[in-house]
Amino acid sequence: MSSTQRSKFKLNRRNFLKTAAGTGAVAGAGMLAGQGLAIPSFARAQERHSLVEERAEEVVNTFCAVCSANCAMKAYVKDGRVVHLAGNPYDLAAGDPFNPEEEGGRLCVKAHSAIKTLYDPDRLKKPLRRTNPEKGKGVDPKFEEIEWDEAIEEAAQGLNKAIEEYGPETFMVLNRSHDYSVRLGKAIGTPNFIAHQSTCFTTQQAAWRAMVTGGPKPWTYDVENSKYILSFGWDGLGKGKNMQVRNVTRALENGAKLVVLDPYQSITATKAHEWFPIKPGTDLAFCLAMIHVIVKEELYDEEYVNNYTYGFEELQEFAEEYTPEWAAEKTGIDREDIVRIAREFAQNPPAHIPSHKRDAAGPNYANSTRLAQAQLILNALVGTIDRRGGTILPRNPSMPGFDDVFPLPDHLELSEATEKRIDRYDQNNPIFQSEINGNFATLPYGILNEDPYPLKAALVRRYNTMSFPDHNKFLEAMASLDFVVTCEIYPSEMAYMSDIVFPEPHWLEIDGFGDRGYHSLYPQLAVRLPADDLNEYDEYDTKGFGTIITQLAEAMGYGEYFEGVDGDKLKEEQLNALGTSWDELANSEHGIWEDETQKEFEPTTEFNTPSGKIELYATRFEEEGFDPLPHWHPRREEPDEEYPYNFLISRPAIHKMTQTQNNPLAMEMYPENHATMHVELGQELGIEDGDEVYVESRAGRIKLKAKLIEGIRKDCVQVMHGFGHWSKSQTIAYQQGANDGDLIPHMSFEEMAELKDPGMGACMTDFGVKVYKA
Amino acid sequence: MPKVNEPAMLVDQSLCVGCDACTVVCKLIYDLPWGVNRTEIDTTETGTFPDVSRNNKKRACMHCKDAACVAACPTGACHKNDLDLTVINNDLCVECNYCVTNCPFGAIRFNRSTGHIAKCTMCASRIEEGQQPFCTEVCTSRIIKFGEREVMLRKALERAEKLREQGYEDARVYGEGEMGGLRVITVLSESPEKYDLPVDPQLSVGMRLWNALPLTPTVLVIAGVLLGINHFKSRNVQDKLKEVQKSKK
Repeated sequence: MSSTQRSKFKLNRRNFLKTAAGTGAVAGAGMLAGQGLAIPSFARAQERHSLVEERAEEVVNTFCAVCSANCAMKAYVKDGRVVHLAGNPYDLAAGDPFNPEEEGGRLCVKAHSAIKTLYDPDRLKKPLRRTNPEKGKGVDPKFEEIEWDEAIEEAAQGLNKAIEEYGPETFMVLNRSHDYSVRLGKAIGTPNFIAHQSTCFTTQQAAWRAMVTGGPKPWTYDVENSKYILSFGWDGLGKGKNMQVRNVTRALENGAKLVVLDPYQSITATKAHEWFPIKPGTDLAFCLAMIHVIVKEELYDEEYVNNYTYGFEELQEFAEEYTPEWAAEKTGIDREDIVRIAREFAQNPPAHIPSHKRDAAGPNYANSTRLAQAQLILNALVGTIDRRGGTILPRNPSMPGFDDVFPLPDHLELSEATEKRIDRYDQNNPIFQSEINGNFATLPYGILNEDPYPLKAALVRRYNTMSFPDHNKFLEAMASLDFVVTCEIYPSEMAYMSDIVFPEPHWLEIDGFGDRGYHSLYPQLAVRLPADDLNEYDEYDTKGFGTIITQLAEAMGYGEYFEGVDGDKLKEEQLNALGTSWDELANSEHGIWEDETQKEFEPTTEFNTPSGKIELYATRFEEEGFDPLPHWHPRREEPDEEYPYNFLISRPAIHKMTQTQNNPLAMEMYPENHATMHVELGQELGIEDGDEVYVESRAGRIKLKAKLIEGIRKDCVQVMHGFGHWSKSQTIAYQQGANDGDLIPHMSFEEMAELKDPGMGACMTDFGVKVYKA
Repeated sequence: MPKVNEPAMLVDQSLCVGCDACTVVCKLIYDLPWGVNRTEIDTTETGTFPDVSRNNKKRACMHCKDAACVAACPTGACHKNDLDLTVINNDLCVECNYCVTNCPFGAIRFNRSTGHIAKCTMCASRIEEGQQPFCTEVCTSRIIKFGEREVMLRKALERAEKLREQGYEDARVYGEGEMGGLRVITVLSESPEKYDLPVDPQLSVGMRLWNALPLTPTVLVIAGVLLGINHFKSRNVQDKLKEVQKSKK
């Protein structure tokens, strides 16, 4: 963004606030400024104001909800407003409970800037009713504010109408799995619980489930104790996440070696001792050759392999054909480098390949699940699965669940619907049968082809339409539904596709507790207490998701299923099971509960697989008709003459997917995304830095500015995710940059089945693009 | 922490991930307007594919011993405080912008629309109260340290030595002698050019002369004239802003 645009951008914002304060014409925002909702103004930046700790009236223990890491923090409150957030030194994720005084607590940039989201005047404040029946991209829903009773009643009627006329399966629950909405959905009797994991980590999850855990993928990377960190597109430093940045920088300070393979020079790559711009979609070949070298030269950790793994003999035979020469041809990396890295990896213990969500082993390519398998095999060969310096299995405390605390009365039953799902998620992946995931890639196909039945209604929570592959197709699908109810904190694009919108509070306004999502070295919980409550102001009237669902269930005639359900009771019973209580946790100085007896690390010796060992040869995959060993498999769509370049997606540290583009601080730091490409590719195409260009795939095209750099392969175009909002009610996010999701093709059920991928990945970047001047 | 006599900051740029946590917290705490920062991250890319360096630099006041901004300031608004940190007294500032244009590090920001001069004070009032600067406390990668200059310098030299051992041949410490010695000591894994840092910054002869001239009354007259010009210019800008605002309504 040029400087003139920057100032214009800001003016719009200021104007909006001034107009709102002056005339009260903008619904809801009218009393904002008058009632002092803004962060206290430090006129001319007086120095004394930096003494937040002394000036704060109150310090509130809470934890972050921007990502799933759950970093505990202390919120400093002044004049009733949150003015500063600081990491909690006693928390595993944000601090260092082994050395809290010296190390202090830290947060990532997304948490710090979240204060501006809490006080964003564009937030949803009251329930909304759509008055414009037309739905589609760019269409103004012409919302009007209504009262809660009315909104709940209308939502119940709208959903019930579809369910009664067309059947319970024509209703879908579109959100991250949540106790309340699962119960409501199962009471209604739909099979359609659809969540986003196939665009995020089902590839890695399938491999972990089959080979190590029998359950979820762990997220704790103890790489601060690694001597050798090998990254396949893993950008722990570039995402700015607290514990990942801490762990890698500590490792580097301690002299660890960092090697990164990534077609784009990520932040992690800029800090690496060696960066290899590998050909996109060929990381699997590199890993297979590493396995070949380590097995052939007998460099593996014999003790670990003998005691804790299964299928080594099969692996030996399997790896024979994958020579470094073969891999050199596939990856574009010299044979000598492949051999050397394989040797270094095996000879510098502890060595580890961390992998988190959308890196190379995420659902980017048709061979990503195989890559996740190969990475697990390599980590097992050097003995860093659930060992210091490696990926640690979660040590979260076990507590009674929602269904344990609130069992259904005998005369009621929850249905395990037997109809096929609208996204056909169940078609060939028994490995995920017990999970409530879903497939965003096939959902538009199911809805638009009414296969196996027409879908009529949806209950959505905090998913943006822009997160879906083939955004425009997905909008078409959503517009075809009779009735959509969305729970959100922003007037998002999904809200714009909805008939009724329920406003939720920001996470700094609510209470609860959570485990240590991304750094669970031992059992620890942190408390979340409200740091502010905007419902004290007339224009705000938000309700928590649990309350909304309970009231909606009642109005829909499913009240019995929620009889006795009470959020406070759930918290109390869960904490009582750990020998503590809500009062004790809420009133503790640092808001942390932990199991002192398990602080010392005890390595796992038995794994939750059929053999009780880490299965290099995955018998569960074999039983279910998948490849037990990660044989080489190319990506689905190589770039071709028409679409000659590889498409890459990444995310900047300060943004969280599509959720932060209306945050003025985040947008000042990172206001728009670009089509990032190599300087020479730009020259070849007659494109200069800053030119407007089109990036086009077989699914669609987007217009954004070009950015020419040296640190990217010449056959790639990279776009950051999260931009291109079209909801006019998000005044800052509106039309900044473009949406990468417009380019990602959706898939038919047949196309998905053909991939024979137990991870059911959405192939988020498995296609070619072309670029031309706009 | 105990009170420091010679406050200094150590920034290990070799490990800065450029996440902007420092920028954002500083902005929130000091309530800085859009486009105006006391500290920010610059990224410099050098080299050609695949031998590319992309380095982050925390661009903020280095608190030079021979400070060009202090020398340039006609009114004494920009001065050294008791801790020898460079700070601006906004009550004396006539917004002449000389400090902004003379800073060798581009570390002072002026926003004409708000008449706001912003520069890092190393959180002077926090230091006076025995606390650390905010960026030190919030840096996600924990690469900003604070303490006695002597100690910071020693740690920096050790870290640079370690980097050289790891193969970063050009790793060095920046700030030991530059501009008479900086209070922000920086560890670089490569040469200063690769961070867009001046290689051997000097206080110019002209600036030394300007500062030494015993012409305070003349300077004040000139400053008065400049202030007048500036006042009308600012009013102009503000009028234009109002127009734009009106047209937006």
